[in-house]
Amino acid sequence: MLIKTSRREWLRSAAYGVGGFAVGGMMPGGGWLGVPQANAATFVDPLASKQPHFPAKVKSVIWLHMDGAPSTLDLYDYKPELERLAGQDIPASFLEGIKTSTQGGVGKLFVSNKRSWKQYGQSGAWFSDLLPNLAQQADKLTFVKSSVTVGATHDISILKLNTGDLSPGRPSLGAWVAYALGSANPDLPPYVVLYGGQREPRAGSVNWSSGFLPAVYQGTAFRPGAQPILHQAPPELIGPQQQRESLDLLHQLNDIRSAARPQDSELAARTNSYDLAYRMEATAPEAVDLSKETAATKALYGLDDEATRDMGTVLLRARRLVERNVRFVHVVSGPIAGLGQGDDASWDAHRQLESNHSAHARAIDKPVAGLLADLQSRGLLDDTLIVWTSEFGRTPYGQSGDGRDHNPWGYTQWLAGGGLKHGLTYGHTDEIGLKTVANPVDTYDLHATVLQLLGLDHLKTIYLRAGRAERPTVVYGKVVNDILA
Amino acid sequence: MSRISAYRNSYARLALCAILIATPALAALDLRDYDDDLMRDLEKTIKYFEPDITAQNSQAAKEDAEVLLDGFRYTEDYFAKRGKDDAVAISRDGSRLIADVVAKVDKGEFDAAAASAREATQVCKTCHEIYKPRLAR
Repeated sequence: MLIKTSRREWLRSAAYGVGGFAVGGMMPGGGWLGVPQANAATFVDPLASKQPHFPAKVKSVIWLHMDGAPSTLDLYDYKPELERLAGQDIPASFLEGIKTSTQGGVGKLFVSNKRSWKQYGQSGAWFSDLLPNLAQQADKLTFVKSSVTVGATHDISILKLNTGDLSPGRPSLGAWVAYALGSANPDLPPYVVLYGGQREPRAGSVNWSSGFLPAVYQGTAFRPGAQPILHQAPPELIGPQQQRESLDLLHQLNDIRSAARPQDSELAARTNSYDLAYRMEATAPEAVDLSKETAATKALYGLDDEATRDMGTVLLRARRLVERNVRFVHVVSGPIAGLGQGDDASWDAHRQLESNHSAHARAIDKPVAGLLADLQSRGLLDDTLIVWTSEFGRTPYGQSGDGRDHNPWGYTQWLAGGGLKHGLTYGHTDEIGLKTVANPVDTYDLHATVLQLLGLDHLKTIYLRAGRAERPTVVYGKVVNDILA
Repeated sequence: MSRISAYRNSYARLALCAILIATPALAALDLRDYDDDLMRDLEKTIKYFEPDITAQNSQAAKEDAEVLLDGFRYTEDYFAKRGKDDAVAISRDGSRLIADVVAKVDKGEFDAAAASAREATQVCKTCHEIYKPRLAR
């Protein structure tokens, strides 16, 4: 069997080469939703706005990835039974059907003695003392307390969260959105990545890659600071007029060449890219320039407090991008200096969970609450989908005495914005918050639901690759209809 | 005498406890002789199956189906020998669905075939939930 399959694989691989070359000829924008055949005369911008499959509930998505995986048991998923059993060994019945780590071991059930819980809003949603500001927005949120994934290590599960696969090569969700819907603003990329801290997050661009889709659909990482795109600002010695004239000349020369070679779509695409880059020299810095925001708005996001300034800046930028019709804003939470090096600086609290989560929750609580309030006050909340997500959750049993291990079996995510049943809690974990026991929602289901809200049927969002019709949810995914309004 | 009897009882209880504690581990160990290469092959092929059908690539879809049918038959046989009726039933469901897909592909009913292929994916997941638990770390 293996030999037979290997031969088949070999034949398929060979077909990829030929098929990929053939499909490459259809680029940019190939695939079933794209341009069937392009040449300079009939060039169609691959980022041109495209119609969804059905009326969309939202226009944009803000995807909030909490890097390192917070313990949602310490934020949203209140478990009185865990408090009662804290300090004891986990009853064996809870461990049935799961395979726990041997590296970290299964410690005694752990609860921080500093944790307190309250219900908020008309929905009565539970929040811990770590999120006092977000708690005030309780009725805007739709909780999924039955999230599951494949949990190996951070990099692998982050990849699955963003691309639906455990190894690199597939497009990220944002890339699929850019491919399927194109851009709603010709002067900005349709898919932008923002991150906390000064450096790109772990595993980096593979998480906003276009995978096998044309590269034009990949996420554009906006750096902190006034110039968000690397090398975008023109050299100091070239003035705007001089640059414009150079580009005009280049355009004329390219047009002459294009006229002689109408089959050459690459030249048209390149000319288009030059124009977009030129326009973005002005539009990208303006999109993230917070100088014209009012003091009240800045305070709403916590820009007046060192603890919240970093993520506040990121989320205020996210709002500005959504305001400018960027389709998908992919936010990654940043490390916090003082918590340690590497993973310790993220939400990855294998030890000292209390100090780790206190710092991270403080950094994100006010900014994310401010984002929700700000979007609502500007009339943007109904057109936007905000997703709080992470690569997995954390275990109710302790690790290193005062930390928690990775938990792919049951954790909480939430959504807010248009098209949702607000204040709803969907699914739940067992009495101690270890495993999902009702309505599991895998990353594929979340992706399918996000696409649905954007007006896209995940089964019909197709890209033809080497004889196969690939879709964003691989061969899985079900829309979580119960959370949709 | 009564002391010996008490010891025997204690040993018997200890042995029983050991067996009960070890049962899930033994069951897990028991599955280690499942052909891992085959499972990897099946997991790869199931990801080709629906995309091949949706692309109306009949030949490739049938090649996938052949691999998957072989896999479901192997799995059925494997679990039948271990008396795991639930896994046997799941494997048969899988075989039935794959055959159904092939019949639909032959009729050119690609949408229906793709829907059946998605069901087959769920069949795999159902079995994995029981016999291939999700691993943390």
